[in-house]
Amino acid sequence: MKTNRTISILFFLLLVMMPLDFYLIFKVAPTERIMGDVQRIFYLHVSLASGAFLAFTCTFVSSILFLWKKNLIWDSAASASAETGLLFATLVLITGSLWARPIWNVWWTWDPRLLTVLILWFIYVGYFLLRGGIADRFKKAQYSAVIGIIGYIDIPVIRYATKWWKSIHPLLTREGGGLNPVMKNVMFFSLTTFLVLTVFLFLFRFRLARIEERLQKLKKLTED
Amino acid sequence: MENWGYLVGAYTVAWLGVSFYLYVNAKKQKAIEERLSDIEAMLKDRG
Amino acid sequence: MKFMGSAIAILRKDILLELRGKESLSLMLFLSLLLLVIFNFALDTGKENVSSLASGILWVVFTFSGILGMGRTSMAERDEDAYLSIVFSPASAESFYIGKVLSNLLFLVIMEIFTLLFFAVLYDFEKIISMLPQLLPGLLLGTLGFSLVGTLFSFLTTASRYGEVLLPFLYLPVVVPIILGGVSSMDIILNAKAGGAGKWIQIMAVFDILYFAVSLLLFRYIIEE
Repeated sequence: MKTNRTISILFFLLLVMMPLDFYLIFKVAPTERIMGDVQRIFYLHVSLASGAFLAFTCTFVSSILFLWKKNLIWDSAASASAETGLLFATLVLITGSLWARPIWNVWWTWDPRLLTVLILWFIYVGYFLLRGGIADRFKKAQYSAVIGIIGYIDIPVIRYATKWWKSIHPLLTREGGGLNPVMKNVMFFSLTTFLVLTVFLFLFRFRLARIEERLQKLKKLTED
Repeated sequence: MENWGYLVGAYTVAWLGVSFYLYVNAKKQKAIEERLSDIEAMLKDRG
Repeated sequence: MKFMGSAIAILRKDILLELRGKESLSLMLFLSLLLLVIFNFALDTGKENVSSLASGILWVVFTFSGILGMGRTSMAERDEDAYLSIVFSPASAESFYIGKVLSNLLFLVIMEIFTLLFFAVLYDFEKIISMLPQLLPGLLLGTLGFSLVGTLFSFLTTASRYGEVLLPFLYLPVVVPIILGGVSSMDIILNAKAGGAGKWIQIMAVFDILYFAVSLLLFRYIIEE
């Protein structure tokens, strides 16, 4: 099985990259002057967000491919990546909250970026609610593909609208823009590591979805 | 170092979240693989 | 022209059904009235506050009454598979979609007019009626957005065993830009705030165009069996 091998390779890659990433984040990256050590959440938070974005993009593309090719393998890919994306989006919201408390002195702020992730989170929860309620396998795939597409194209509109909405209200102090070169490099490595993690989790879930499919088919066969 | 808790908290939550997700899926995978081999064996017996 | 013809036929069918007492409109109006009364208890709507609260209250009422109405009309299509006769007729899925969007739009607009009247009376705020011409672009674009997404999603949810209950969960997050735009533009106009409503009208227009195009492409996958 090709997927099995890719999963193993990625797993061993992560076994090396993850500890190295943590080492870089906690030991090599300099402490931010104003925010202090809490700023190190940033490396995790941003990487998770990029991973979620990659996963939802994959859902979008797979959904289109499903409607086009009508092959259930694309539905498995769409739902597997939506699940990975949802997991990451949840973690983004939690880590964002844990960052906001010490820095902005609030657990939650109606920052356009946070708001966009929260709304996305709702959309993909809806995606799974819809899937849970439809018994027919093909219909489930078809209908959730529509949500996978509609939800994704909403992202830029939500982003733009929330940004404009915020610009009317008083802005909370933003984090300082400048990252020093070491920080940038650590950030880059962290991003790469989490993108590998995203692909790994996706493939892991995808393999499960495929094997579930096979079980259902065999079950039907034995019942007949 | 007064905000250490938030930093550790964030990394712990993320790590636990991903590990738990992997654990649950790995368990499911194993259960399904076992059932699949059961059914395949059964089909073989029947011929 | 045949395309628009079938869309209009569906619109006419829905109006006739409504006139014969399918009750979705009266339910919407009743909910609007009820929500306005509830808001009166929930918020301090004294003379000095009502102007700043108006846009928020009204759009929440529009949103929820709209969900109720659109959920009902598509449920009526699914019942006894009434929509199948349209699927198998020469009318295309696209014209079916447009027809349903128009009929939902019509019912939403009627509901909104009544809600505005109820609001003016119950909250002693006649200003909202006199300012209607300025508010109209925002109201129409927002309502069109509701109808475009609501029509698509209400058909999605009918296939689920949860039925209409699922509709708000799918619909509300997606129409956030419309709600933001509707509330903000109305607030800016009512309270003569700086910034101008033009930007919001633009966002809603972009949303409408985007969803019109995408829904037209996707609707066939929802009703084909």
